[in-house]
Amino acid sequence: MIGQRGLRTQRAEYWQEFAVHDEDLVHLYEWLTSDGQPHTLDELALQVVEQRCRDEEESLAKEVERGRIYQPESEYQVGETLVFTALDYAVGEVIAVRPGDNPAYGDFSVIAVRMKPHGEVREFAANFKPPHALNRAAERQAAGSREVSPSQLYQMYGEVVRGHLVKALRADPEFVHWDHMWFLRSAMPEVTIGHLNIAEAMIDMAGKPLPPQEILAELDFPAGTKPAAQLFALNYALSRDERFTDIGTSDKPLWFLTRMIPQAVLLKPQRLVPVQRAMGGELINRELLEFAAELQDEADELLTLTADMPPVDSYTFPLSYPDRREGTITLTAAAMSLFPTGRNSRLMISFLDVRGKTPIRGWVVPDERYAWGLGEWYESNGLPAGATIQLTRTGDPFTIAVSYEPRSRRGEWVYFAAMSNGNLTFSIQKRAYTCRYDRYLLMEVQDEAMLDAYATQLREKSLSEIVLTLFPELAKLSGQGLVHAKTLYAAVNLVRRCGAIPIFAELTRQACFDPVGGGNWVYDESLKGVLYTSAAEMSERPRSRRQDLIRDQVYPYGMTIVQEAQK
Amino acid sequence: MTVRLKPDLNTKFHIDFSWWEKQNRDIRIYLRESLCPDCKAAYAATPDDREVDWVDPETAEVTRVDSLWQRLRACCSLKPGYITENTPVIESIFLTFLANGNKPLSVVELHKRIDKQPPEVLLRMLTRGQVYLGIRPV
Repeated sequence: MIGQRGLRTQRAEYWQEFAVHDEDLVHLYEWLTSDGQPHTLDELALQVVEQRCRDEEESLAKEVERGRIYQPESEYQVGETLVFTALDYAVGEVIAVRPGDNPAYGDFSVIAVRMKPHGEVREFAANFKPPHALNRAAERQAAGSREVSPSQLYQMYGEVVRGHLVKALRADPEFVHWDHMWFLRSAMPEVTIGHLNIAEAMIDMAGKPLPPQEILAELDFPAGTKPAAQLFALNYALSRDERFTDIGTSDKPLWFLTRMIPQAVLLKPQRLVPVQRAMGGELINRELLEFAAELQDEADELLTLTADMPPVDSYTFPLSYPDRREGTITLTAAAMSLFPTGRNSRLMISFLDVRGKTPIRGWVVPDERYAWGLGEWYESNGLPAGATIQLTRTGDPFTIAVSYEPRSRRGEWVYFAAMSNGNLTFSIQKRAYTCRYDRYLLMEVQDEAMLDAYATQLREKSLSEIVLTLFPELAKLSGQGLVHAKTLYAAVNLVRRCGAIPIFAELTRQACFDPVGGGNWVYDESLKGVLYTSAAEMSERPRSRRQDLIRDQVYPYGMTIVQEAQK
Repeated sequence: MTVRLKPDLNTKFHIDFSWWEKQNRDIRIYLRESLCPDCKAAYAATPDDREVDWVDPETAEVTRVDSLWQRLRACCSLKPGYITENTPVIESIFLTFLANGNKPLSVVELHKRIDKQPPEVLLRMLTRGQVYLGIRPV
């Protein structure tokens, strides 16, 4: 228990039941006005706690003037006026004194007191020698000391005070905040349209984001205002003007022009938005689960399983067609850990080309989980969809090294997508690449505009229909009608952004598809539309006519094999 | 017409002494049985049935209480064996009220003090019809 009996601000319940009063806001208003600079919410809340304690002390001093502070150990005379700290500073007059009657306490007196304002008579101990809490409290009051200081109270109950205070400050138009700092609207130096125009011109001419201090140095602010107030006013005004965007961190704001931010950073490209994501629980065979792990598609991540993932120092992934087209990297939780995150929804970063040693300006959009800026790098290095890319942490959190593993130029038969009579068809063509890649994911496209138009046509089609359309087209190119599961995933992502899990779930549940080993699947048109409904059926595939069928155990996605075995 | 609300978790309970009178039962017998061995021996030697002054430990306000009860509050209720794990729940509640001067408490507050059974169960025990040891809503 904390607490000096009688001082309400020393009691836990006082702060647990804390609510902001108008007097608190008036005090903060006066404090910020006299101080002339912004403060953090923490500093404001501590002010409130200190002021509440001061107010109570002053109130106590006034009460004490009304009479003598009652202590059980003291002697009192009829006619004396007493103040009872334990009864919320109630005041009463001694009207009688009698001997106390209890052998356990020894000799003591009992005073009868007529309480104000209602006049009820209550009895209290006097000349009371046994230890009593009120005697100790009175000693502390006499010494002017508190058991718990305001700063200690703030450590204990600051969270409650902050929570209520921030709501009250937000509801009061006089208080304004930028980031974690709070100030008064009326105390801010005026930022004119002229100031903002100069700021725009400065950033435009620099061609890069500028810190507010650099902008401030060129502005003619009225003398007499504190630099912190000027900085706050500028940041606040820039944040309210759509021409400007803060792309820095909480410690180091950086102002940039919204029009200079690439469109693909302002708005997530539609091509990156998964139409189908893994939901968890999809039934997938063991081999396909391994492929999904290799593909590392952000759309296959179950957030509940990645929330506490430790940060990594490097991250290797196969480049997808949507990322190749947009010059982006969709970020899994592991990849995200390499990038800075902050208060702002967009951060400017540098990709450091490990081979060329040249920095590439890029952006990361943490909330949308993608990074942008590698389009030219993909192009100039001839990196196809399917190339293996590596990201590595550097000493600077805003610089991410990017590399690929070079290989001597080597010919490879790859799938070549083209439009023919309004349908997507595939052919096999020979291409040569100078990087490491996953050959099952290599996809080349003849006419990207036509492919985009075809993808638009397919918008209303279900994933199941798309798989049933693309699989036979791919199968035609193999003598045995084989299609590798990863190739199907790559082909679907030409026309629909989709995680591997929903596609692999289609392969697993549809009886017309059968695994025949090595990641390859075959198609039996006669079973089109027949679905397996249980994991046992999907493993056994009882409708299959294939002699070379591979039976593989099926698991619900998101549950580890160990968990499944224990079930 | 007086409408009596159904007791809930916040309803305050206490020992209703009028219940003891109506039942023709002597609460002092229970008080004597609840004394610690030392006080039992002392009381047996010099039985003291009068009222004495009781000083509230927080406010120092004086009230007149039965000397037997005062002895129980000042000594026995502060000893470790006053309420044990084996003390029945209703008796634990009764002893709690004796120790605190019969200041009304809700089942939530009682649960915090005796740490036996959830408040909902305590509420059911105290309101399911029969009155135990005079414990009733205030």
